[in-house]
Amino acid sequence: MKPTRRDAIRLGLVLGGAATLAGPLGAGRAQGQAMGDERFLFVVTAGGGASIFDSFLPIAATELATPEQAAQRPVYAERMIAQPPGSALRCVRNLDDALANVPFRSGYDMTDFLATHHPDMSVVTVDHSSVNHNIAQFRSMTGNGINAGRTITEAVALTHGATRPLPNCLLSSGGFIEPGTDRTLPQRARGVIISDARRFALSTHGFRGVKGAPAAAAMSRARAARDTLEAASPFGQRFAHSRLRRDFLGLRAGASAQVEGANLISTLLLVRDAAARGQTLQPSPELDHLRAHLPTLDEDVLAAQAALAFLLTRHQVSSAVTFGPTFVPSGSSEDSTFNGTPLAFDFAHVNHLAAQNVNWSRLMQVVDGLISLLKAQRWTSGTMWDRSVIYVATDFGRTKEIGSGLDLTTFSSGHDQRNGALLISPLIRGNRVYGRVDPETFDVFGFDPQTGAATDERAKDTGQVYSLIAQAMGIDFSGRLDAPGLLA
Amino acid sequence: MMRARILMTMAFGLTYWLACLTGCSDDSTSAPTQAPDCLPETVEPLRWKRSDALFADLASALALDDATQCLELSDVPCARAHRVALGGSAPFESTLYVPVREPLVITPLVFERVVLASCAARVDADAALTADARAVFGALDFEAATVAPDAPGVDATARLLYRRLLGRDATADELTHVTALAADVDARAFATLACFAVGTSTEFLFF
Repeated sequence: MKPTRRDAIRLGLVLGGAATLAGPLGAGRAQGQAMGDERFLFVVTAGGGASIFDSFLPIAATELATPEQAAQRPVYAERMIAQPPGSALRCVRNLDDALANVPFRSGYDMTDFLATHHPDMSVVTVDHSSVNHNIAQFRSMTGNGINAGRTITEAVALTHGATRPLPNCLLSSGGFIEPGTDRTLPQRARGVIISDARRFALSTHGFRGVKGAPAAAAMSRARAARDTLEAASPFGQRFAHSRLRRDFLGLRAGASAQVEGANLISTLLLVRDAAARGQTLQPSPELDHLRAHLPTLDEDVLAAQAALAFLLTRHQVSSAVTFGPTFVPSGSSEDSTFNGTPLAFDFAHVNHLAAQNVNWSRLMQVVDGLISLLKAQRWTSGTMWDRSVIYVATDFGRTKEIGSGLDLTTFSSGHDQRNGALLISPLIRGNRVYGRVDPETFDVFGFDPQTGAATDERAKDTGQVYSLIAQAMGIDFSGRLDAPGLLA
Repeated sequence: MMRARILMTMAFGLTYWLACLTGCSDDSTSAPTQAPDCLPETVEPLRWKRSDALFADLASALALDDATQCLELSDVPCARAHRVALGGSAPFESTLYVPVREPLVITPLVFERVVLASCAARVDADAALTADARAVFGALDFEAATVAPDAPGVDATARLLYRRLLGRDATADELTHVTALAADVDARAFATLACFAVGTSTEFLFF
């Protein structure tokens, strides 16, 4: 019998698959191992380039050899730096009064955050591998590919989100929400992109709240008729072999139905006046509780994102949620107030101090609200906070030179690889800086994974942070950079 | 790693060479509902009709414009609210230059919402017009308290929905299933349900 082209291609795929098994997709790669307890990961994306040296690892001007050198570097006067009692960490104070040339303010002081949360805070030095926004953001999520291209949230979803309808939710932007490159990752662990935190609940039901929708029983009949038509139609018969169509029908009958059945439209809607708009929907019954912990909920989309992140995890919908400001300005056109700055942290290209101080302050105010919600929420044992990790991810740092004729309040900065990451979790030994920075050069150095003590070796890239989070979350993979000295 | 890549490349090269040698089968006895023998089953024959195209087709099929087609909570256009889930990019809102590769878990639900909202909007608009002025549902008696599968206009409405949404005539079997929705409901509800059942088929979403 004459071989067909189909037979030839099948032979080639078999040969190619055999070759593939010898490579990274083969038996040599370890699968994720789940711990006994559930864990939650919140990735707060400080998009644009959030410098750790302008937040929780500031360098004082007095640490440099001469005032002339200090004038050329983004370092701070002692009065601008705070170190609350009991804290081994320092932070930059709120500098709204020093921002003379820009209309952006925060009103929140990172000192308050540090005073409350320093026992759970860790700063890890990072030498980023890219100064391109999208690439660097992506690498912050994948640890520069350390886990076969899986993002940290995909890994968490795979390990802890097996029974969750939407285990991995992405409310951020850019490279932070790109899917990982592991094509073998099960579909259920891939991220669901959510572009509107306040109205996301509407995406979880096929007809509730739709103007003119018939009664639920009638809708069920229509769906049943539609499903019968799918199989009976010439199109359905013709394209029965289409993987795209088959997968979609599988989603419709499986995961999507599970999402709808969870009645999330009644628990996740964050639009205060939904009922007043002539619809049959009510906002989340927890809206007042959320507002008590996130007072800027109605004005700041970042706070709305944090509120949704809490609801998604608290209602066992998700195991990993990523959220953070986009480059689009946020605020009110009615009174010309802004939340943060345009371009988020990348506004540092215009004014470094404003971009860093205002956005770090805004971010930490919202994170403080999220932590207080998690601490107040009981879980199977203890609280949700006891089993949570917050990872403040960013693209990279900022350049460290102040040009001639400029000072700290007027200079602008570009992209720089030298930086650090902020981790907040009771699962990691906190109140510590892991690694160190040379105040003269801003070069960053790593740490001993057994003791956490700083070393003279150059700091590692985001793979180190990824590995630490994975350890705290009980996720094992081949190539993980273990740091047992950093775990609580 | 390098060795595996070389082996894989050689395997696919051999595949291509063999495929060129063997050519398509000239077997003409395959049932017309199966994929042609010369196309391997691993080639995806369908494409996803994404956000802009989907809304354009809905608007065309149901004679709607942007202002009336679909709104969430009475103020946010569905095309904006559900753009990413329906396969659109969001370069300004989310720096998402490349849309999601495949439908998300929420895509089937969002697809139903926008089709349902569009159908209901058309029904609402037609109900305010005389029968001969209606764009889609002119055959139905909206004044009737109830309808039945064999009531006047039900069959004609189902046929028209297939033509407007899917661009073809319905089969007898399909008409039976769609007209069966005209039971224990009024004319407006039947119009919405029938439009929904046809409009949310994969035939409308993929091409």
